[in-house]
Amino acid sequence: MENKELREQFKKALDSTIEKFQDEKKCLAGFLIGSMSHDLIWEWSDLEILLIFDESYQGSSSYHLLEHNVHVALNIRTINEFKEYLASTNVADYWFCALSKSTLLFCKDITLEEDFEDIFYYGEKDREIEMLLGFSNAVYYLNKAEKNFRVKKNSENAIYFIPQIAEGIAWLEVARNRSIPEREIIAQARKINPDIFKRIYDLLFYEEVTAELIDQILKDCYQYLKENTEEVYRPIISYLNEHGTLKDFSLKTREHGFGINYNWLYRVGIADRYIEPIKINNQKEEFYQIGYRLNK
Amino acid sequence: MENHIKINGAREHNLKNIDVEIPHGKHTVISGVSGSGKSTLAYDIIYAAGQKRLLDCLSEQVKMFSSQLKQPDINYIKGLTPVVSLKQYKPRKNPRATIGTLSELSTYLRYLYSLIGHGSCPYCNKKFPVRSLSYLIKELQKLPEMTIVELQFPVYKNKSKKYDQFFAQLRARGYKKIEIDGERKDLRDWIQIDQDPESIMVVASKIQIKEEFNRSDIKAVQKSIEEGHGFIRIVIPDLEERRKCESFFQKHGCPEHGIFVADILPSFFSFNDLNSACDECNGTGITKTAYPTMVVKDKKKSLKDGALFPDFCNKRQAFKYLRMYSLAKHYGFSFEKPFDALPDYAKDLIFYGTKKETFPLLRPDDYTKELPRYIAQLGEQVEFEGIINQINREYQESKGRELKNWEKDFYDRFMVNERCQSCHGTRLKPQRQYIHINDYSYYQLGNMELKDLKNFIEDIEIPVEKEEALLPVIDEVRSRLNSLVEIGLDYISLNRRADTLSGGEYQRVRMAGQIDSDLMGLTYIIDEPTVGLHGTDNEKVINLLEKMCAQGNTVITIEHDLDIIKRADYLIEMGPAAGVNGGQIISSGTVEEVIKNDKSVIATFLNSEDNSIDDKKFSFEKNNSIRIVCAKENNLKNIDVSIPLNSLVCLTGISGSGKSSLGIEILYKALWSKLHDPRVIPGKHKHIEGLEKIKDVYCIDQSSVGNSPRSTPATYIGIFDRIRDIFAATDDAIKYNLDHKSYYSFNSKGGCPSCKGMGYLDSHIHYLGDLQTTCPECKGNQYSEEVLEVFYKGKNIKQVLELDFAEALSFFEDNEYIHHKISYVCDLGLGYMKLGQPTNTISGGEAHRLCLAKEIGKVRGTKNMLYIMDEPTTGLHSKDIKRLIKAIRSLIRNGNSVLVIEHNTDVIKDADYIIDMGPGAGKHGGEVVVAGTLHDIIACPESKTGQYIITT
Ligand SMILES: Nc1ncnc2c1ncn2[C@@H]1O[C@H](COP(=O)(O)OP(=O)(O)O)[C@@H](O)[C@H]1O
Ligand SMILES: [Mg+2]
Ligand SMILES: [Zn+2]
Ligand SMILES: [Zn+2]
Ligand SMILES: [Zn+2]
Repeated sequence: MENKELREQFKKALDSTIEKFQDEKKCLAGFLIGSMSHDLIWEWSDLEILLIFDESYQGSSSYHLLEHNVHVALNIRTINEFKEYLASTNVADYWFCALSKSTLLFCKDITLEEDFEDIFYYGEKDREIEMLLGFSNAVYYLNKAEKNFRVKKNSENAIYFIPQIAEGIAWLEVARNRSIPEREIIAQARKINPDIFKRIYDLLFYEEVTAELIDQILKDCYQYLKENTEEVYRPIISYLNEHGTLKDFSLKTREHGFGINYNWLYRVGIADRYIEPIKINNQKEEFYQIGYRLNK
Repeated sequence: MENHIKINGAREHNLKNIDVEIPHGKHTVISGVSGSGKSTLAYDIIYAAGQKRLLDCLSEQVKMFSSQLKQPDINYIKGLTPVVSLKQYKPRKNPRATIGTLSELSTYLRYLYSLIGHGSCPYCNKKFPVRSLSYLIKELQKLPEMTIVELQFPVYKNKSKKYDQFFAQLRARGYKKIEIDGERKDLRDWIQIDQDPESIMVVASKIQIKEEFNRSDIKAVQKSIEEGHGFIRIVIPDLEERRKCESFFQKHGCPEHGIFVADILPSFFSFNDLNSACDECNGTGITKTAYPTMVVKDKKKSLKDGALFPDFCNKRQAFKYLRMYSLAKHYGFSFEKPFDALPDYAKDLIFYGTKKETFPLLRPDDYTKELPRYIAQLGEQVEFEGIINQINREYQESKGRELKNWEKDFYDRFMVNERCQSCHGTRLKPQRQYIHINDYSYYQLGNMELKDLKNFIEDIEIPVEKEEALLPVIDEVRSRLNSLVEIGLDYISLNRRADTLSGGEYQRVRMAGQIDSDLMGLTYIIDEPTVGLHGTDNEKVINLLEKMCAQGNTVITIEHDLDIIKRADYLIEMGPAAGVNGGQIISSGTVEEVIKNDKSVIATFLNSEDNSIDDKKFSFEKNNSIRIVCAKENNLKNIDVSIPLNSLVCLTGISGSGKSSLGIEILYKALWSKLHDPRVIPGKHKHIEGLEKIKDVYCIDQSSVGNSPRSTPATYIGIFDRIRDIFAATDDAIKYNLDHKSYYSFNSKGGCPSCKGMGYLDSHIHYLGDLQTTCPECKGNQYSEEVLEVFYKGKNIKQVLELDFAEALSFFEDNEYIHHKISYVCDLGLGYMKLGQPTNTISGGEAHRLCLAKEIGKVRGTKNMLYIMDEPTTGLHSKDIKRLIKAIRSLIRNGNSVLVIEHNTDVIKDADYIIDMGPGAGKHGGEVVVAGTLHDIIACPESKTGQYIITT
């Protein structure tokens, strides 16, 4: 349980800090972020505040103050920096997550408030792309785990990859639910889909890990992914349905891990592979690149 | 300064140790028959000395080069001023050079547009002023406080880009919302576009009005304007608040659509500026696209035997070959029948593919070559995107990186130039068409003929407050326009590509530029400034030359035109004949003095009042003619023109009247397209009756010889190969083991390794351009030492190349083939030319005749050819013209037809049939004023040509 006195002391520290900035004309907005905004605090917590100043701000971008014996971590951005950040950020960003759980302390600029609110809109396109990215990550680690377990007979490495598969799946579940991913993402995803994590993750901690168990977990992972393929790959499958191949397909994703795994469609038998000649750089020889189309 | 340029003891080339004086501040004409030494005097003495002087005055580093520069062979030259040469040559192919950029008028007009252009709403055409950013911000601050303003800007998508990509890029630039035809969409959702929308707006940011904007507000406005290329949309979402701001919208922008324009800089209109050039074509106005008939090598052959170029299907590349075979099998058309005979759907499949359908890979029984392991194997399904699609796609993908030569060749072979789909040839990003002066966009202005442009400029109203900034600009524009118009280029437009000008037009543009530069104290050497000009326009050139003199310059022209010669201040006549028989000054002085000089050759022509007109019999036979129907190219006014065959037809008319449009753009290109290259698209016309009567067409113009320094007249007329064979077979060659003909080519094994057979080295000095210095290794001999040890009839290969054609005629007496070819060159008065003279140093007129000699050398037996000649008398002395006409007549006697585009009265008088175009230039021309025999022309009072012939 949280220490009530501690919370009060933190509250005092917060109020007195804010008081000093709120009347400053150049200080446009303040956010409370970190544990105090959304979680329990303990003696080693610090009090994190994000302040937005106008363009004339000259000081440093962070300060560490002691206020009522509480460690106050101040982060300061100018309004342009902050707006640029708001324009470019996405769910994979640490600050994005932090801001989503923050508390707006004060704001003197109505347009800033609107911009801020707007970043949490989770569009359908973004949702589907995040699902694909989480899925593709899970596939990547599943391949690694399977190779270690089935070919190299290296169980230790296979086990090492399993939580990473689970993380990819968790990302998918959270995105499907239009939630902003948190740091403890498996816990967050478990609330949405408890069953799958029971089968592929919890067993590692609560059961004796035998070869049979690993085999079972990997099969379950595969099964889960297979069952979700049609839903997660909807944009790609519908494009294939309409255009036949992916030749002119482009789905710009944020820079992330391993991109979208198209080969999975081939592995689960939804798509077939064929080749098309391409030129690479300006080499004179022709190369052949893999193309996909739906299995009829 | 001395009053004269004094040259003492000039001995370069054929000059016979002559002394010359040329008066300063005057116009001097150097005249004489071809090969008499005019160019040597002008270029190899005066120009070369001027260059060397100039370099000597410069730094030590440059001096090093100047000591290696060829010193003209003279005793001394005194009183020389800096020399500028205005030669005639076809401008290099370069889509970025236009009359506008060349004359610098573009620069000034861009400035003008940025100063007084006004914006118009892209959606309703409403006009409003262009504001500066700071002014717009001041006005925004005056709106009611607390008003929330949303900033948007319009964006435009390239034709070749996909919407998905386009939206993803906007998103990557940090934008989240757009409005498509007024409907708001979020870039984080899927956006489906079924039909190109009229407007796409990016929602950039919001600001709240306050008395004094902070930096972040200003930055927001500025960024939107930048991203919108000057265009911004201001939206006030709250209706009540919007109503209070009505006057702001009324005053500065479009109240209906909220569009405003600010901060338009001159570079905004420059297609050479990366930010302004159309993304699709990078500012060239043209894009390439593959053309089906071009990939077909031989339509009489089957797919199997090479109907297509091997790039697309050949037996050695198993996969492509099998895929094509399988395509034919799967879709049921023949792999073995001639391509010609294939049904349309088959051709469509070959060119445009299976549209994502797949088919199994099969193997014909008689084909055994294995497929590489890593590609599709027999029985597997494959897809075929079609040859044309593939070329186009690869070309698109290759954009943005440097192409290798073989790639350029590949694309040139199979693609044609097309007007860019995105900018419609304006070369600029779309926003540019919404800035106007008096209802004309910058691009539209560039399409105006210069004389109309002149009026347009005069009509511009200048606001008083902008006078100071504007007047100097307008003055520059005026004076540049005047020079171009005065020199007879009033019919061209600024957007006209420089590389579509003739050599003469191009020279005149540069002359006008010199006048505008206001430089004085220079010596100009100008090569035949009247070329391509109708006699009636000669006056304009004379005026310009006089103006250059009046500015304090010395002008030296090389001219044959009697009009110009008569008006010269001073005349130098070289002669008496060509080559070794020339190189002397046979007369000099004022025109009156020369006329009295009985040694002068030109005197008789200057004196001649000979206006006798032969009464030639010529009757027009309908079934021995062709007829162009409904010619509409460029300025042609939908005219029908008949051209008799087996005769000498002369196409006359002032510059810009439409001669080239008719003769070259339509007639020549229609024939060429039909007979050789379907990619060539002839100028607009309905059809040509009787085209089948012509077996082949040959166009002789100044560019046909090519201007490579590595080619020579000997290679050009096709005798060099034989000469090398002769050398390879000599005893010397066998003795030294140099018995292959490649040793006798300086471009090949035989070349000096240090200069690669050029004989000189190119160095580049900043500010001075390219300099040539003699190769220290071979001392200019071009060949490696050992090759020069091989002799034939006492001469080595270099010495043979040094022979002139007249000498070569006797040297190769016993070789019938070579002798025959050379004799035609001599017949056309080119006996003085050296076999090995680099073709890039040959004058336009010489090139013309060389080309003609080559053709006549070939004619034996060929009949029904049509020769089209563009100004063949360029560079010809009146005496040489007689020879030319003789050569042309021999072509006609052999059963061919000749169409010449010509101004020269001697040729016109000799023609069987004359088609006189006009009456004016540009849009005032484009009609046939009169067609018929010389008598008909003279009898026609409307014909400028006819009247000119009478008065001379
Ligand atoms: N490539 C071209 N692009 C645009 N306009 C052209 C082009 N060639 C000719 N014109 C225009 O067509 C008209 C006729 O020109 P042209 O046929 O060259 O006449 P001529 O041969 O009698 O000098 C002129 O107005 C000229 O500016
Ligand atoms: Mg012309
Ligand atoms: Zn409008
Ligand atoms: Zn373009
Ligand atoms: Zn050399």
